[in-house]
Amino acid sequence: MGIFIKVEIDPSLCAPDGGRKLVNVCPVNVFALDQDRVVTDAENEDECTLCGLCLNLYPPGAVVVRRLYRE
Amino acid sequence: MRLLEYESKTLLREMGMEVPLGRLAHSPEEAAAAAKELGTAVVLKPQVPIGGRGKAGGLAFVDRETEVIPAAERLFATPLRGYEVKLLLVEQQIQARQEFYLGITYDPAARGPVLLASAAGGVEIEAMTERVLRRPLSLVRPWPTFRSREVAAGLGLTGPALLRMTTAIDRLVETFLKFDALLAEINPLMLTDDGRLVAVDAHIELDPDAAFRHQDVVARFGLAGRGERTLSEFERRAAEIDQADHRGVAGRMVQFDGDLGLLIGGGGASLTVFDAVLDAGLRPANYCEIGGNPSVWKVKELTKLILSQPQVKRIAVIMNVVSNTRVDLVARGVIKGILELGRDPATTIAAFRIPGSWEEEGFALLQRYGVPFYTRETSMDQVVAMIAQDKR
Repeated sequence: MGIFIKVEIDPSLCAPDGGRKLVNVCPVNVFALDQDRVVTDAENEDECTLCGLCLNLYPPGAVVVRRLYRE
Repeated sequence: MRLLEYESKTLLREMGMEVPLGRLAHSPEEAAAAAKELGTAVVLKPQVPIGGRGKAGGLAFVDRETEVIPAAERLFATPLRGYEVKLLLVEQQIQARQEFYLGITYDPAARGPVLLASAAGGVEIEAMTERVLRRPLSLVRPWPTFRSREVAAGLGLTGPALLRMTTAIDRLVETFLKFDALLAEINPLMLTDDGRLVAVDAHIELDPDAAFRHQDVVARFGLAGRGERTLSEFERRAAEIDQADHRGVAGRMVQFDGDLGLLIGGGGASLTVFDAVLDAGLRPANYCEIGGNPSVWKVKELTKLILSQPQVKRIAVIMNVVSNTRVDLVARGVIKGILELGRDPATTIAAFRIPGSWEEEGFALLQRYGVPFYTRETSMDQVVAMIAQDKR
């Protein structure tokens, strides 16, 4: 689990593919496929560069990137 | 590429310089056989790439045949400044009327080679700068013999001795230029009672960048790879970390024995920081360069590696203003590494001074963990001075 960054996915908002595009768009592999489900790779969460590419793929709220050190 | 004494003398002899008669010995028995063949008082000289062997007790002057084997056994069994002795040069002893120093090296200030000569040859030549003649020489224009004569006269020589010294200087210049040497030194160059000039000890260093022009010498003496530093386990691990992730550079590490870990930017800034650390009386545990936006993982692993040394209590993270490395990602890596070691970032990081790209994000992170950080308003030298004053 990330110490600094926490990425949360709401699959219900990631229609129609359940968020599969996230796996390809992230430059630091924060997202991964687990069976058919898109999950976050806890090992890589702290590598998140805050580029925002994942935020623009699906409607607002589908992906939330939390900077834990700002909370 | 530093040549061993016998290799240096081989080149000098082939260039026309007189050297003592000698034989190589790989064992005490070979040394005894060599002494017998030379049939006179000999000196046993370990062939290791260091100077000052005499002062280190590394030479054995032997006048009787029966003394050779015990002396050689002692030399083979005694490492010289960490170098194992595997080869001895057994040479005829030379009796000197006078000892000289001759050398050619590069003068960084003059940006060219310079000939050095002294009538007081010996082991302490570096301390006698006022008694050393200096003459610049050109890599392009030929060295005229009259210059050698001037130097020989400057050494106080006259008559046949002056002529022989002139020749010796010419030969040394030719050797230096022919082999693209960085240093060619004869010390001592002995003037004997019968008027000969003999190069009793010699030291030549070749320019590794010009090695391709001297493949015959490289092959003849097995110079390939010689002088390259063997990485310590610590340095090897750092290189592995660097190679494990293509992002950024974080692993050019050199280990020292101090207690302050350093994670510093590459190039001139890292040298500046390193100088400042030494000037402030701090003792660096390592030199290391990071840059090019390394991943959080890479910085984390490097931080853990630096702090894994038992004597390292704190780590300083200092770079110049960065544009291609992100402050926040470096901060994440350093803090994460420290946390994974179960230590407190606030007390383990002596100072964090990386201004530049994404600094606000980085500073927010550092602030959260109570880490002392500095912006571009504080110079790298000032930060180091503050670390030196911090008695935590």
